[in-house]
Amino acid sequence: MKKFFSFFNKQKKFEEDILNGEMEYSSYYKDSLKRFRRNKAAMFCLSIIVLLGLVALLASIVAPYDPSYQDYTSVLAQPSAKHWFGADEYGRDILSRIIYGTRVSLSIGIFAQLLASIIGITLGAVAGYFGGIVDSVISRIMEIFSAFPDLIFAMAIMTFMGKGVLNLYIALGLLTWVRTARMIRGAVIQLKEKEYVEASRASGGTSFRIIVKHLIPNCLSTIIVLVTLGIPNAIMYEASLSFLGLGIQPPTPSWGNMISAAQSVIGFLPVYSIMPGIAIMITVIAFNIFGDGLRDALDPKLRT
Amino acid sequence: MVSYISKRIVQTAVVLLGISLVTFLLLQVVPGDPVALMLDRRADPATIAAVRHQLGLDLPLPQQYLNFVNGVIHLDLGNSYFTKAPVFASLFRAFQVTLKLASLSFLFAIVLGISCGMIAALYRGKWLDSSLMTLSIIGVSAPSFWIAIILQIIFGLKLNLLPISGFDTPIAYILPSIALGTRYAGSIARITRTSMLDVIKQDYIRTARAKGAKRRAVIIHHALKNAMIPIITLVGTELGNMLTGSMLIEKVFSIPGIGKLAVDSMSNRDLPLLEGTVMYIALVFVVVNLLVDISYAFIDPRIRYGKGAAS
Amino acid sequence: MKNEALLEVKNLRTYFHTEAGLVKSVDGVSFRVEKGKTLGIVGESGCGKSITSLSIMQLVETPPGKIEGGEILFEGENLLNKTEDEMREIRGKKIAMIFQEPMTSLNPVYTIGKQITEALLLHEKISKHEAKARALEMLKLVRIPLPEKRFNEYPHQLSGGMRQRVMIAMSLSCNPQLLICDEPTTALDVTIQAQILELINELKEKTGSSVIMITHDLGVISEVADDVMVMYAGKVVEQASTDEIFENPLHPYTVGLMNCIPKLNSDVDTLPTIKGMVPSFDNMPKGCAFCPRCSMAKKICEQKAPELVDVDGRKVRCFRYTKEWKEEA
Repeated sequence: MKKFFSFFNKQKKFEEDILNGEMEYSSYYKDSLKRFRRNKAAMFCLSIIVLLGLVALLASIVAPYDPSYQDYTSVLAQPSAKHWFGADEYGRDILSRIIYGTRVSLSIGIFAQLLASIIGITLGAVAGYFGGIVDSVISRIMEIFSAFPDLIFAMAIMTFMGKGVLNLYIALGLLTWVRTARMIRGAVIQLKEKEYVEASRASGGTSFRIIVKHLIPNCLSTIIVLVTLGIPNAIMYEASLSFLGLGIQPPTPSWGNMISAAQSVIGFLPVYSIMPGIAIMITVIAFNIFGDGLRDALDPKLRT
Repeated sequence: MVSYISKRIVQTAVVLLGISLVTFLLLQVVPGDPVALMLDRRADPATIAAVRHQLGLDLPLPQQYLNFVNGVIHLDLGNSYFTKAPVFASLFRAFQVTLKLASLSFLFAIVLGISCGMIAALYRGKWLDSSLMTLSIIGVSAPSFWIAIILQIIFGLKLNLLPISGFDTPIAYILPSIALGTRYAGSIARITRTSMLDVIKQDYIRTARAKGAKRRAVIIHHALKNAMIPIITLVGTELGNMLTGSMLIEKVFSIPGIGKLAVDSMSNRDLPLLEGTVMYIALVFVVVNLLVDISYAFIDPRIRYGKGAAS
Repeated sequence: MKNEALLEVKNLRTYFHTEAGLVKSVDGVSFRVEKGKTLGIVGESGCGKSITSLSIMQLVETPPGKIEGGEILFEGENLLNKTEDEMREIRGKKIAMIFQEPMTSLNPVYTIGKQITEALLLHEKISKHEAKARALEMLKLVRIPLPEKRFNEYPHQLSGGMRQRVMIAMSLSCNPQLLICDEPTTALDVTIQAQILELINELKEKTGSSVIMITHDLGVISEVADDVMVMYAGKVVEQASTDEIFENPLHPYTVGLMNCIPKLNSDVDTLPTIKGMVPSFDNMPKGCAFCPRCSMAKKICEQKAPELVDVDGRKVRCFRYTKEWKEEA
């Protein structure tokens, strides 16, 4: 969290330069792109993310079997040419289930972050822009939300709302909006002092217009970084919840519920529990390094 | 210092009150009548009404909330709907187990994390640095419950060295503690490295070197104490996460801790137990954060003497 | 006959190997500091004056920096041949240093007292109790009021001027023969500046130490220095006694710096400045480094780099004092 704040402070200086007309937006993003391209690790991770995205989209083509096809002759089959990673307790192909699990994990990561961003941006911008009582009420809500340990919070929501993919999106979205809201609130408070907001108000702009047209685009690069670094978090929580039996419910394959199911046969078929974990790890690492690279690229002052 | 601490304590109390309210309200929207769940399916309405009255569930909501808060203050969280055992006693028993697990993992994470982070910072850019940082990013990105299972496979099943379940003997503590601690060790190592590299660049480090102090002495005496400030922030939030993260590890190793209690109460819709567990975990989390903030004051004199707060 | 030299630097070269390329921060610098005298090193930021002083202490960050060659003779011994342990005996004990930023040069998490006694305990065989007594004495010497109270305070509780006094007390606690002051007054108010300079002068008289005063402000030099060395882009451009320089500056850069000193009787609102900026190291001119900013430059200045030449017993790096200049006409 601290890391994000220091990032933001440096970012702010940079955005001030843009606001003062010392730099063009287009050249800012062009420069960032150039910097990002030089970061080999981040570029590599980006290609992994693209690959994962393709696997998720084309799961039905890539996967050798239907993930719910039960072949009773190969129940708990060891890895072989027929089933590369073996088959599970119902004779379903583990590789195919991992491939379909990519779909679940990526969609959870992305939708949860979208929801978190929408809530966070809205509440953060409202709190920062209006200040006063509105700000203190929203700030207190944020404090209470962040006082709950993440996992317990998500578990409680899943219990209260019932298990289901949609509820999982909501639970994980509610988990991370506070961070975005804090950031945007701070940004808006800083930026609203700027003259151009005054100018826009003088020329008859409404508050809403000012926020949407001027303030939010100015926080865009911060939001991009937050979303990217939030995705692996959401993926991890999904896996944890599914492992505890409170997330994605079988027979829908998810990396978390696969590891949970594999637990009873770790001695006999270890590959069943190892492979989904490696899938989680690769995805999480790829998003983290990509996000770090994005942050460094969008914020040149951090790297001098 | 006293005013700083008392201010933080008041803030914490307000947050705790908010938590109790949110917990209470959330439990009101749980679908399904817990009383119906708890009694036999064929129980007649009169019995259900009697039980509701007995549990105080027929009172108006504000009254129920006051009863709940009153109970919390008196450490009386009611009885479990299912086992009929007092919730507080169950919590207390489970917490002792979880605390033991969390403390051991915490110790493991701090010792491993800080030493790896320092070594990486001292050998910045060398192969030792890059391999330690690669390991730490793997540690941070691998789910702890998966690491737990991998450890079970290697040390329990293949090598047959350590037990893979339970938490009764010291030897049984080893795998769960490592499994829970690995992730935090990774993030502590990363922040230690960053923080050390940041502090080493500071002017006062050069001053200390100009006095003729040994490089190692400068790092241990001048750099580490300053570098500890961001490390403590992370360690504090991680300690709270560790207490809840232990749920996953408790499941893998069948350890009867707070996590198991939480999972059980959720699947049984055991309201008093659920309320108690959630309140309790939130309480621990908030109190740990409070302690972390206070410990800043001891490390950083700028806060102790009221110049700027920890932000 | 010259006095005995305490420090003699010969052809010192300190380069930085950065991603952008080789940066010659200190490029062939030679000078001497006599016993009990003060040498002023002047130049704009980035000219290599601070790196020169860090090279003497051997505190240049390696990598990226590296002392590539030359000699640093202190009391006749070459410091560049010393081991790290031997250097540690010299740092703080024989050569002490005061840094530019009193705000950041003191460790925020230790008391003033602990930071002063640290040097004493490192170099002298004395007890903690004796060290405290010495430290209090030093605090009195630099005229810090209520030294007993300050001893237990933290840096953030002191003003900038007080912190710089603490730095001076700290650096002088082991009676060093040479005190290097790297812009000791830049971060301070004008009135405090004068007090600190006076204090440094006074303590120098008392202890008989030599001083290297690094600054970008010729005004400071006029108050404390016996000799002056002007640096530009890693090279010495002029060397002379303080009187000579102020009477008759030879190098156009020195003249430019001289014009930047505010004068009481002038009625202009803005101070003159030297146009342009110090060239960056990846964009170093082929000829004289100062040529792009020099109002007197001729063709030769663009083509060839000037050597350090002797003019009436003084040294200056400028073609104006060579035959080629007159030939070009």
